[in-house]
Amino acid sequence: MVARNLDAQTAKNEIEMWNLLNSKKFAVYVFAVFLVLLVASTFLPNFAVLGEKKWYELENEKPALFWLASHFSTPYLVTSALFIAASTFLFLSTVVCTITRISRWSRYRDSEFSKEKAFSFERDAFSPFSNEELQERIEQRLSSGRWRLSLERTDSAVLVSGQKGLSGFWGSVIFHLGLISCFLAGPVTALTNFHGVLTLTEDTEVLLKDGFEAATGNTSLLRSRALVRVHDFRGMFYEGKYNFDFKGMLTLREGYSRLDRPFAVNLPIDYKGHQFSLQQFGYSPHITLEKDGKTIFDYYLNLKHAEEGDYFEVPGGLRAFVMFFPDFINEGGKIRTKSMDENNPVAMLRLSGEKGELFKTLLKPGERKVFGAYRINMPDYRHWVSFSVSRELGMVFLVFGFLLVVAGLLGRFLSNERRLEFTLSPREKGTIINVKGYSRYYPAFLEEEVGKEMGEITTKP
Amino acid sequence: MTTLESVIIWLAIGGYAVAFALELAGFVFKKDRLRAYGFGLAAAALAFHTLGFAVRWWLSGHIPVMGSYENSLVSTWVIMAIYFSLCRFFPPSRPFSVVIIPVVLLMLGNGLMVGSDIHPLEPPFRSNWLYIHIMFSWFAFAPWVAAFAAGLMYLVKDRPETAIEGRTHELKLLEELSLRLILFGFFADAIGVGSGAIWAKSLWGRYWSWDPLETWALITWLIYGLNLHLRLTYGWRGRKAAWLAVLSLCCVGISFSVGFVSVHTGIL
Repeated sequence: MVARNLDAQTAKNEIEMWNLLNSKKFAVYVFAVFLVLLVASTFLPNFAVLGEKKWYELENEKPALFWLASHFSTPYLVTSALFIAASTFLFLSTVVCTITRISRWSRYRDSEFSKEKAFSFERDAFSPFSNEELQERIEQRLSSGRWRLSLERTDSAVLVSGQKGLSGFWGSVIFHLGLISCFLAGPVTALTNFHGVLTLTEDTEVLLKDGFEAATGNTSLLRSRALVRVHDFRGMFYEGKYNFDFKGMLTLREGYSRLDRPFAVNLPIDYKGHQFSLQQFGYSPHITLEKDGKTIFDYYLNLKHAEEGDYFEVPGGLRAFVMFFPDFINEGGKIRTKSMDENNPVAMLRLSGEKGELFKTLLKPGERKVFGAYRINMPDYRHWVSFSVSRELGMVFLVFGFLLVVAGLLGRFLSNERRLEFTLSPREKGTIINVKGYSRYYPAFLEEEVGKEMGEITTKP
Repeated sequence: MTTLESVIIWLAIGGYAVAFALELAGFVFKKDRLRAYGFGLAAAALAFHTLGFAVRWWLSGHIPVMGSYENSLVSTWVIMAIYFSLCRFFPPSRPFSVVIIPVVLLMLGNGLMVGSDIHPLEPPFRSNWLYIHIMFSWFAFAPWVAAFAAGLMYLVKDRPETAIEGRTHELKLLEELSLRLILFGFFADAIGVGSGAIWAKSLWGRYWSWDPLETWALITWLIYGLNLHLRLTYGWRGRKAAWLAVLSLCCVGISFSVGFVSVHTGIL
């Protein structure tokens, strides 16, 4: 008895859950909440816009705002339990509604319009043509306009009806299937994605796994023994200031296999299912420092902020501040770059110790300077480039869904479900025509259309 | 901006401004002749606008999609072209110019003020997906502006005490036209958002990164989706539907404002 009650309760709960998922009203409420949350989240500072530096400044200067932003700004909100729950509900609701619509169609083999058609207008007209003649004219007009015809006869009248534009149902179903596929892209991406930032100095071969500055997700690349090298990198600027063209070659070697691929902005490389997209480039001056004839520092310095300067730790408790100007100019003691073209490359280096600045100097490639016990040299300079390395398997679902969404919407837009019923009653010297129009969405347009058709049918020879 | 381009674009702006004044005067004072002159002048202004668009393309060597000025030039051209197409197939939509032309003037003015220097086409913009993305975004925006105009017309017409009653068109037709325009815009925006995601994937390695610009593009599309759901599923009609068409455009406004202040980071 208890088991039977439990079964009944479970069945009742299942039905309630099904009804809830099938409820368009509830789905619209959840959708509205989803939208409000999304809108609110965009007004908070966003990491994607601020960048790393300003994000940390926000953390230090406005901790309360930072807390809000780091919990509720869009990139964080979309990973919150509430948002995922709302998205999951909307996904399930779309699935259930679509299944219900398709199953209803397969059961009755009839469009939704047949049951939900809305009466729009009715009008009467008199035609001098006979009943049969008029019937033929109506059928001809409707057939030429690709209306689906049906005919009924009663003792006193003939009913000719035409129905058109029923592809809207399938357009809507395909659109919702596309949405389901797009929804699926989210979890598939979250579960399988990999994102990393690979920073490489030009003409310097490193192990691929060692080149990653940051990485999220799991990938075989992080265990790979492949060697990677960037070479022949070239950056071009229009009028010395506008970004114009950036390209180079990437070489990947693993055992006996070797891959050489050109890369550029918008020309990513695919390697073992991972996309390598060029993101940034910068200058990498080669600085060597000797103290008392012994080399204490010898590196290519990848400058992230060439004109503002970057700090580097130097052995012996020293600190180097390095700037780089591709087209150096000194205007009354104010140093800057005249353009982005590499016409006059100069590095500025300031070395500081515990007691303050030890020396400050400008160096051209190949130049060497001596400051007391220190000898400093810039033999050459190179470029560094950073790639966004990613694997997003959800993209397949997204593109597939996108195609379905577009196809479905096109079908929905082009369709206009409507029905016309012409009742022909013979009278002396002619026929009385009663027209009833049914259209859920565009009754006024249908009425205009019928007005034109009626003129053609009833009056013209 | 060169002198030639300046002259052409200011002729277009002047033409639109005078056309708006004539159409508004004709609308308020019930002078059909003024409205006809206004319509003709707007068509002439569109011819200059087209010329300005072509000259910009020729001078910059690329389709005008770089910066605020070029975007405003193209978007307003699409709005006006769609408006005239609409008038061709649905003549009762002619009074929409009273709403559409000020939007066009505001956008062009903003574009000119923000800066109209000629820039080369930057590397991220050299993608066929970008052209699809931009073209369909404008094809979405233009019908939504027209739907906004239809909504406003409906709200004006639906108040019997207003002096301009009878100057606008049949309420039902306006309502259905607005629905069709929103549906077309929703379709075009789906292509815009989808192609933008594909472009982003090839450029940044991510198809979606939830920055404000992407989020607002999605919000706008979803709001118009909600708009359609409320109208088609729940049967919202009349003033409610007109208000929906009017208020939904605010989202597009925010979306574009966000587009001007936020940039995707991390690319050359």
